[in-house]
Amino acid sequence: MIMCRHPMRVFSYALLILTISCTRGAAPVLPRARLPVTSVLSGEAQGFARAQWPREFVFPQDHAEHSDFRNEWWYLTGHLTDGGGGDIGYQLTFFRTALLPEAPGRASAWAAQNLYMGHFSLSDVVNEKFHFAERFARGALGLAGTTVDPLSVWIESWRMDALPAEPGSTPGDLPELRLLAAEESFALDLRLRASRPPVAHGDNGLSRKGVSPGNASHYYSVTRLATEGVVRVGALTYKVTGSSWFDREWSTSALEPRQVGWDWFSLQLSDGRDLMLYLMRRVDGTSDLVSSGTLVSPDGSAVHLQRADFDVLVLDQWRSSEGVSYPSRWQIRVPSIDLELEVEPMLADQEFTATFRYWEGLVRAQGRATDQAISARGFVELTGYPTN
Amino acid sequence: MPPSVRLLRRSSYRYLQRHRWQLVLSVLGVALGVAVAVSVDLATGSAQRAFKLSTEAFTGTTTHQIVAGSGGLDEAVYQHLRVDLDIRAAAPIVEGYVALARDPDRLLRVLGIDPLAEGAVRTYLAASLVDVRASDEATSLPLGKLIGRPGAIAVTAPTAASLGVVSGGLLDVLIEDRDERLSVAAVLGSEHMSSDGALQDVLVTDVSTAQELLGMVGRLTRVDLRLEGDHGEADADRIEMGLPTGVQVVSAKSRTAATLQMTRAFRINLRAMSLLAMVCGMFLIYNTMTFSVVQRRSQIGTLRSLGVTRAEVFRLVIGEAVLVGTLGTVLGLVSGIGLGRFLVDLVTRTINDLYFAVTVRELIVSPVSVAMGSLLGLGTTVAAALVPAREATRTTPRKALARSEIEARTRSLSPRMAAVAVFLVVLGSGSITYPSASLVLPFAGLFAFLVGSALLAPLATRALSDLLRRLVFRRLGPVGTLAARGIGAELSRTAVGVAALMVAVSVVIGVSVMVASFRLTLVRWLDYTLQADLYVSRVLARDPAPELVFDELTRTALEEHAAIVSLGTIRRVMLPAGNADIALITIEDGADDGSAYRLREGDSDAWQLFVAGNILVSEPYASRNHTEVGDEVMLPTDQGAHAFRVAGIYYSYASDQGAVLMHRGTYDRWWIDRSISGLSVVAQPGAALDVLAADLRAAFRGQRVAVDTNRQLRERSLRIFDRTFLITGVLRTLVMIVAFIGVLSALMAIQLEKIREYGILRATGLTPGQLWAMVTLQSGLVGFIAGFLAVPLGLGQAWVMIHVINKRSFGWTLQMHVPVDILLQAIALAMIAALLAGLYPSARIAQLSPVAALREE
Repeated sequence: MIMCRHPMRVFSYALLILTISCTRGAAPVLPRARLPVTSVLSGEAQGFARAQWPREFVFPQDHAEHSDFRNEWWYLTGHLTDGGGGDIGYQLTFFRTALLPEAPGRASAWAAQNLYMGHFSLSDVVNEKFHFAERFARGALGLAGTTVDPLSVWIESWRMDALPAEPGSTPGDLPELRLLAAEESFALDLRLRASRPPVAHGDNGLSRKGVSPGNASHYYSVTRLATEGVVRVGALTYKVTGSSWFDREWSTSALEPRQVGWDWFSLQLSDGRDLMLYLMRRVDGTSDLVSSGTLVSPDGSAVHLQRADFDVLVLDQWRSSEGVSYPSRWQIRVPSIDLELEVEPMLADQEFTATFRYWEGLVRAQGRATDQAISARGFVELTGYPTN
Repeated sequence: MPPSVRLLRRSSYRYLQRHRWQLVLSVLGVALGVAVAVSVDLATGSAQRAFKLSTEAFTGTTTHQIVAGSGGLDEAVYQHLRVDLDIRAAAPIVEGYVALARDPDRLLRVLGIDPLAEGAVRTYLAASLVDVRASDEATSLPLGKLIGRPGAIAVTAPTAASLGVVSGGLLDVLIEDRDERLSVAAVLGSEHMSSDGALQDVLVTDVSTAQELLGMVGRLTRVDLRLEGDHGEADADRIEMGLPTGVQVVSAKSRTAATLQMTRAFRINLRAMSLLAMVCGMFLIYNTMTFSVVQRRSQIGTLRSLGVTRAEVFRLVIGEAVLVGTLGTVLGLVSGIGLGRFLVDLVTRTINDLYFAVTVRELIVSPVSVAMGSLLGLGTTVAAALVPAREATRTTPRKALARSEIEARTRSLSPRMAAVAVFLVVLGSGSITYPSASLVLPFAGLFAFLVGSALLAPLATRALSDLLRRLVFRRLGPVGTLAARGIGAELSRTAVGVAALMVAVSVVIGVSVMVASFRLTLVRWLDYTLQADLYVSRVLARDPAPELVFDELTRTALEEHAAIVSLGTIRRVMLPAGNADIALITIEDGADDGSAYRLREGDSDAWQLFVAGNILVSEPYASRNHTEVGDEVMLPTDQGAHAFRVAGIYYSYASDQGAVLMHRGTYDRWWIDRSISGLSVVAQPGAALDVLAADLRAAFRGQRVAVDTNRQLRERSLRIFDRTFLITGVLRTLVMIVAFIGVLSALMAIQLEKIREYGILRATGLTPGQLWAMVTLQSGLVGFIAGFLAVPLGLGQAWVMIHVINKRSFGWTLQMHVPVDILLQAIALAMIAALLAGLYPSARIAQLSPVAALREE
């Protein structure tokens, strides 16, 4: 049984339909609404398309929305450095969830098929500060939405736009992207240029989540994008360069009741390879056998990793101000390719506490591949950890 | 406790016990006075609070609002705000009313929101919309269903209970005359609400549903903003700059205040009415206390000669007053709260008819009102007892024992009292006529005038009774003479009763004449304003009036209709102007001669100027805004703000908020709106109006219109008028009851007091019948004198209410109209009250055997 590649994102999706946030700054205005995730995601799937077969992705169409599926996201994370060598991490994510399987066809322009949620964070490593913000909007009246040509995804003023294609580029390539997001105390304006082609996860882009057919998602990533632009933190503006990771996934169906959360890793290795791993945590604290990963070579070819192919050992814990203990240092071993890494957060507090709570932050890693010393930068996502 | 105090207490107790009817009546008088004042205060206060609460709940943390005139603003403004200007705390609102299908009189407020934007301004609403407990299904939130499902609503638990719906159920409503079925997606729990009243009778929907339901697709009623901190003002400027013409950013707080201010005059008038009742109650208390002192002169004299000090006597009288005051106040508070529950419905209905929609489900008993009522009851009682208490102490023991002294003193006191009275009357008249905008001043003046007049009552009573004795009563033989003389001779006791009755009856006259004048003025105004035969409008029109599409095709078809002589159109829109909106009425008269509008002031060629582009303003508008002919009024047109010259001020009683009148030609030059709010049709003489009405309905097919005849419209206007003054009628009745009790108590006391005297009369040969006739005659005479004196006083009050108070409160000119039957009724009322009051004593006296009567003491 193969589970979804990005369980965290499904989790956050569930919360999207549950919650509503403040719209100014990052402080949540509501006590977090909580419900068993499974009860929400096992809701009325009737009328929506299901992911049932491997999928030959077609671009640029598949970069844009698939509103016949219930849930979808455009997930961007990246590691940036300013001129002085200071590290900055960012996350900008657009989530879509459908209220209806079809366009509503009503008189009011406010009638919406989709709701959108945006998450935006900056990890200011030098000043040890984590900034985050959340937005919600309906996919109507131009408040939020997507277009395929030119490719755009936006929630209000937060945007991801394709820049005009350069001569000689093929339709299969991800066009150069511009990310724009600004809050009162932090902002970014970045250009992202893909340095490798999209890679399909799971079984040729079909990522199964349960035993019954259709309990699955379609999932691809562009694991490395050269990034440059400006980032503003407080009154200071930095010119930055770096590398980003772009995830795309859409699905309709749900999760298992016994799963409580996930640990997810995306690492860009110094030898040019990229590694994605996730562990599904069960109620008893053990990790599920459906956990898996993908190893991407510089040429874009991918190797699927089963749960048995890798090993993750937690070395340390960090307790947040909200009273949640998160793992904060890991040893990752992939014996089949003789890879060993020790991963640690570049900033302890990268806890996102808006409408719901999770930890998603910039990490660095040291280790060896075969006999070569190796390092990595990337992101870790930790969900479903309770307060204690 | 010193023995003297114990003695005094006992004597006081004995006295009160023997005169318990008098005690009961005094307590009742205080109670009624307090009850009326408290109930009116609670009723208006509750309506006010309900409005404030719901407004505050609606406003949430909103600091500013983007508003436009009627029809609202383009929804693109909101998109621009959020996407381009990146204003985070902005929430769109589409608001309106629907009626409950099974009870069309019950209006429900539709609040169309974007649940995703509510967190910024109405946290409680946002929180309740993501509370899964509220949902009709365990797996999805109210939020998603409101947005995703057309016709989905959320209501609070109390509203659901009162509508008889449950989560997942259906609610049938009427919009105009269209039936709509809404589905209850959620019943919101109270844990997120600061007050259950906040969303009373409110149907919370998504903007999309509200737009479709209310016919506002593409439009928003307003946008609520929270602009705070360093960027607040800059943001407001930034927003203001990008707004289309006619759309404004206004402060939310001052807007609410402006709405509340609309009812200010209405509230002050009601409160003054309730204080009138208290004044009557005060006379009653004064009467009782004076009487109890007068009656006990000999007893007080005895006590004094036994060594009881003045201070002790003073305390005795005041102590009794406190007892009466306390009992009366407690009773008054209890019954005032009961009465308030009844009055609150009347107050709410009037506010709904005239000002704004508000739902008041319960009477809020505010501690302030209760404290005020207690102070009023106790304070008034003690104050009223001060004069008699001082009287009691001033008397030397010897004098106090001499009964003849009492009346002599009262008579000699009258001229001095008269001086005070004249001073009060002059002071009152002065403050009534003093030129200012104040409402408190004329009311205070009115009270001073009333008290002064009441103090003059003894003089007038003596003069009148003497006159009547000579002219009429002498002819009735010794019985008549005795009856008339009795009044003059017993002035200390009769005067207060007469005064109380006079004041009460004068209030009845004053209020009745004012209402009659107002009604007549309205009828005359309707006569010349409603000149057409048929009126077409949208069904259930409310402000802002929904528009009626009147295209060229329809116009041509109607103009060519054989039964139609001419057509006139009216368009009523609300223009945003700072905190309050301006009502703009645009007319196009078939005749265009302006005969439907009468000018109070204006140029001789005002109508020509009006047709050429000037405006007229209604009398209330001019009064509210201090507008004069020749002034310019700035209006936000579709081409930017433009100053329009005022050519005249016209009489209008349509709304006390005032309106600006503009010719349709002028409106079409400055505004792009081509719709109308109503159509007036002058038919050929003898045309079948019902056939024509059907033709008109057919011409507007697809738009739900009502066609009213001239008469229906007039009747509807008068019905609202009568409903408005229902509460006045109730208060008038209450004042009358207080006065009746006053007279009852005064006359009963007098007659019971004189039982011994009557015993002597019986012993000297008067038959029981003669005695009964004498007492009845005397009572009737008291009533007549009070009624007679009340006439000029009442007319004076009517004059003040019409020419000072109404003018200042609402700005309109009323023609004073004095129906004679009101005056006759008032005098009859006073006499009946007096005769009824004399019934029990006279019956008792008539049955009395002379021996028993003489043995009384």
